[in-house]
Amino acid sequence: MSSSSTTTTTTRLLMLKASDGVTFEVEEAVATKLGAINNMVEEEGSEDLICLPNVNGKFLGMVLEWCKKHANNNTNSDKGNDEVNKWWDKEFVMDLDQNTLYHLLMAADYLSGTELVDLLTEKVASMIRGKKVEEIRETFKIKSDFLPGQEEEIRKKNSWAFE
Amino acid sequence: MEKHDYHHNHNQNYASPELVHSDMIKEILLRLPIKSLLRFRGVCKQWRDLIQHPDFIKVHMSRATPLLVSNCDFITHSDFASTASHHPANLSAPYYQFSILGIFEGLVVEILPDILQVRNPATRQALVLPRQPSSKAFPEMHFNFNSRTGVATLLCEKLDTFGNRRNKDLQISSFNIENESFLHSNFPLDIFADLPEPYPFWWNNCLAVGALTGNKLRVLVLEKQHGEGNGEYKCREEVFVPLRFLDRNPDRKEGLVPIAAVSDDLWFSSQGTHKWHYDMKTEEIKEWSLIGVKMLEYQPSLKMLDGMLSMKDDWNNQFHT
Repeated sequence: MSSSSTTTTTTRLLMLKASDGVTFEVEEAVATKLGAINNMVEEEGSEDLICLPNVNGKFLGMVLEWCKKHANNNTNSDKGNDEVNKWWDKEFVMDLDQNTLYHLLMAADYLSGTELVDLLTEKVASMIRGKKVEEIRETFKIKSDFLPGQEEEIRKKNSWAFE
Repeated sequence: MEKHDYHHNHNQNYASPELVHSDMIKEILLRLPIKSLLRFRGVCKQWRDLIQHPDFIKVHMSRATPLLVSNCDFITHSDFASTASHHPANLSAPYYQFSILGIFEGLVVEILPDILQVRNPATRQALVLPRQPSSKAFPEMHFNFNSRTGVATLLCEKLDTFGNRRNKDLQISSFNIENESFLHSNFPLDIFADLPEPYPFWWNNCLAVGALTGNKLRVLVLEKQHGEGNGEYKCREEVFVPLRFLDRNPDRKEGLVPIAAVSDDLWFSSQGTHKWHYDMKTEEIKEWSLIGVKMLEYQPSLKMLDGMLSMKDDWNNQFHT
């Protein structure tokens, strides 16, 4: 199995198929920035069509866009690459609405895109750090399951954090 | 495999249910400052339990930027890694006496004029440690944190009347900060009946007793005889450390007391005012600093001990009550 893939070069193209049937043709070097795809390529060797039933085309597209940028930046001269990536990451997450952000995060997690997960969780953290408890519940659709008095106790314990 | 039509909930500004139940929540929470986390414990039981979990606390702390403080610094209340410290001289004059004995896992063990406490400056909580009935002021105390076992111990004092040494044991009290329990241990004096005044100190994280005999430091490394709990210590190992600098300067012996030893480094205090560092390999002795100035690493954490109470927001009020 593996012998057939030893001659492949970095220009090899992979076909990725999202849950809604949308397909993407991506260079292997770009797609393997995602841990999950890297594993599939290593395990299954010659397979060129990879089905991703847990990711919708819209978000898969966005994840791949991010991978492409980072792969390109890294193949250019290494000078100032971190700066370019940082700047580009900032642009990438700047205008994401919450809904897109959360779905993108789920997609990045499913595809084991560690760096992208870091970027997105950092963005979510910066968005929620100043929120009130009620706002968090609304954002994450969480219902309080505390017994009467329990929540009050938590507030009392660190009242300064609720100001 | 489940399929989701993401386009249908496009306009809802809500997180998908999968996110709420995924590991991603933990990843997000790990990136939040302490103030947010204390607040978000009130969201639901799942978040509360996650934020209070010792593993979560450990990882969260490990990501904080360490702040280097001296044990004369004062670590102010804060929820950010960039906690500012300032010298207690900035506090009003009568409260000048102040010293950090040690820092472990975001907790500061400190002595105020009449309080000995473990304080978490990041969560603004403190636990006042009990004082021994017999101690008038605070005697010399040595703090030790064993990062391997995660146990912090404060070696409190020796309650001993040396005048009667034939009949008495040396009592060593240590306070285990993690269990919040005092441990009183007896050490039969007849083992070192031939020694002048022995001092308890830390020898590579082990309790030890040291005494100057001739121009040597005789060290008895102690070991608990019956597992945990109050009980007697026995001698595990005896070590002699030659102190050749005393051959040249016999007057240095006056008031020389061992404080701690870690591998080849041995620290002494002399006359309670100066600190010396002795390299046991090269046998060099150097003045280390005036007693009291040592650098410590502080990382804000969510760590909490049972019985810790919230402090008043205005720290200065603490000094004035």
